Amino acid sequence: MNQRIAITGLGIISAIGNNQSDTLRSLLQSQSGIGEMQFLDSIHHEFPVGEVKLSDAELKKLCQIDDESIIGRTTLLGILAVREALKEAQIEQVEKHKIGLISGTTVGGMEKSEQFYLDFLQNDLHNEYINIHDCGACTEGIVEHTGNFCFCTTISTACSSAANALIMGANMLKAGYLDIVVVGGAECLSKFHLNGFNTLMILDKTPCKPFDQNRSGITLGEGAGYLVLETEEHAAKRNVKPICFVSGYGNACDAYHQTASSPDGKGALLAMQKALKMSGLDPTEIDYINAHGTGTQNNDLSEGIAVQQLFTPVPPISSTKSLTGHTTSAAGGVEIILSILAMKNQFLPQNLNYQDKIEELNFEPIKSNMLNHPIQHFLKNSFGFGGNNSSIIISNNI
Amino acid sequence: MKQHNVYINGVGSISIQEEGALALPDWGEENYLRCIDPPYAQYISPALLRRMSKVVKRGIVSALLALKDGGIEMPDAIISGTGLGCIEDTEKFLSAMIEQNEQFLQPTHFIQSTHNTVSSQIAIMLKCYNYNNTFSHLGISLENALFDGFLQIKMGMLSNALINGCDEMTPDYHLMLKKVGFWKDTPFQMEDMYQAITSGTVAGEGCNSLLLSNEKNEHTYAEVKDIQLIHLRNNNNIEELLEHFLDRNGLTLSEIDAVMSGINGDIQNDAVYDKLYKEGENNPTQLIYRHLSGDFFTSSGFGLIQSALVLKNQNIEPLLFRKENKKNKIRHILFHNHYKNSTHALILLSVCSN
Repeated sequence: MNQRIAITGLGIISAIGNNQSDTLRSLLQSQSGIGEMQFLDSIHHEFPVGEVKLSDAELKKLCQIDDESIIGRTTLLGILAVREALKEAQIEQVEKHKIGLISGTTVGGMEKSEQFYLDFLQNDLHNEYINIHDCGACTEGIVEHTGNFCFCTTISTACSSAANALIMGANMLKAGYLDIVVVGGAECLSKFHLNGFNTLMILDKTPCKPFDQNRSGITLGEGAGYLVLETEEHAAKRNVKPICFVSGYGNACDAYHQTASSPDGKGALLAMQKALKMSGLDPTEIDYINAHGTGTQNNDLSEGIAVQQLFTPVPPISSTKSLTGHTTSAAGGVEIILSILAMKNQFLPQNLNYQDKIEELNFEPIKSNMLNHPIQHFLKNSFGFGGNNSSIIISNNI
Repeated sequence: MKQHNVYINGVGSISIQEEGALALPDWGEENYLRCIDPPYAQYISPALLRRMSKVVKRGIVSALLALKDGGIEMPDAIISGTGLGCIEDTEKFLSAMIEQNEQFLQPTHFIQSTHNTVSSQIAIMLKCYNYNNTFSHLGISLENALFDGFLQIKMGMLSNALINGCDEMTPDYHLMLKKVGFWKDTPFQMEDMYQAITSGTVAGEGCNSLLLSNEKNEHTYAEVKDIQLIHLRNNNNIEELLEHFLDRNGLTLSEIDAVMSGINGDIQNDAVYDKLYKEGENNPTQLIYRHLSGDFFTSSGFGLIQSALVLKNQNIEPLLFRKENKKNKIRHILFHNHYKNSTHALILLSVCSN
């Protein structure tokens, strides 16, 4: 029995594109989507953000959803990306398959709750938004507009949510509980988490500079990224050619601090080691690392120390958050897809805004796009608050 | 692939119940009760306690109780389910942000507001670097966490897993849910649990933990035979899916000794269970728990623990009965929970004779 987990469809929306082809174009041109806030109604215009370049009304139009519908921005982003992924995987009628959706989110419907919270408590003007506040309601909203899934759930491990959705989905396929599973995450910008990160003093007033000695924090972004997974055997039965394969994954806990990474990167190291062990690959076989690379002093040093403990020398590494901003719960999905697009087009994506090497580290990130550079295996790191660290290894289908 | 058996080897609970035997609480005018807090200082150092919100304290203590009960110090996994996450801290940060127009905010409440705070604080306290995950999917959040642990133990990826279901019901969230029709607006009566004639239920909160293991030992309560989580489609019905679930475990409904369901006194909610289990002489004994725990997104944790106790002790507390049909040995309990008849969780629990 062939239990290899195949990836047969991708769907993505972020600051650098509303679909795969726009995203690939931006990625090839190193065109950042980070800029001044247009849609989020916050007073903090001093922070650049990676917004999806569409208003809620435009997103609804693109989704062909009535403008009057009660639906949050996270859900709208999710709907577009899930539909694109299903289409590529040639799944026209969801109800014909034993197919599930596992979605990561943390902010949920907060961007609406923060507008109407006082009304919720004081009057009955916006009660219809109460039911879409929580994380699970976002996933149910995506399901309502994308298909008749026979299983759906929501994972909420902050910025590693989408990566953990992939892990759960792969386990369910291996155990035979589903034939196909759509995994990933969606998250829109909210004043709640923009202000939250600001209180921690980890937002950069210039576009983020991951792995730079003078990095000064995160640039928040938003988006959605979903992947269709099925066993290689199942894909073959459907006559669908796998784009690539999930070779390994690992979830570990840093168990150090609610919001800070440990100085020695213990959780990060464990997650990468577990993923490598499952893949059966040697560290030297990893051709590219798409780092978590948030641009904070703490993360990049901690992650960097863990990476250089495991890899000698460190393979080409970049953080594409310098293009999209940090899409938080969606980041695992968005960034695996960016890396797959790079892999399929044989280039290594640039780490923007980098100048000076971090003193404590022995490696530099990719300074400009490296074209004609085949990738057979890459590793993706996705870490979250609470030390929820996960690593995924993807292998090309050639 | 070799399949491992999965057992419940430890339980821990912080609920609206006093310590000792189960009692029917006085639901009062509001139909809303908060947890009875244990002396936290017995479990958590004062320095840590000061910074922790209620749900985090409760989650940690129920987790520690389950680990102690199961004789395990370091679990292979910590997996939590929560419908609302750390809603008290979320509300505090949100209110301050609105009142102060996004200025002069303090980080404490934001830091503790993320849904994975309980799982992560347990890990930090135990120095547990193993698998750690959190689900937040409405009224099926805990069942998702249980399923994740069950699946990985079955496949041999873990030898044990600590599962937690945690939710708090703050006055503000209670008010919001009242506006969308969650709560009963007439005083609760026990008759509501037998034959609901109005909508709405009673509000509670709590943290419940279960220690799953691949090892049957002196701590074992019951075996978790199978779990099926179902998102109901238009083109299928729960009757068929239930039959299929029992069938794949070599059982029929008449061979199930008791059904522990999420009956909560809400006419629409309860009708789903009544259609499946009420009619028929050979149908299982019906057990209920939400009049004892209150309803909240992870209240099923309380019901799962009661089911595990019934199988271990071979004794059913009178307050759990809705309808008694059989007096045999209790071999199999079907645990059934649904959320708005959209998502269903079917869990088959079986007796373990040592």
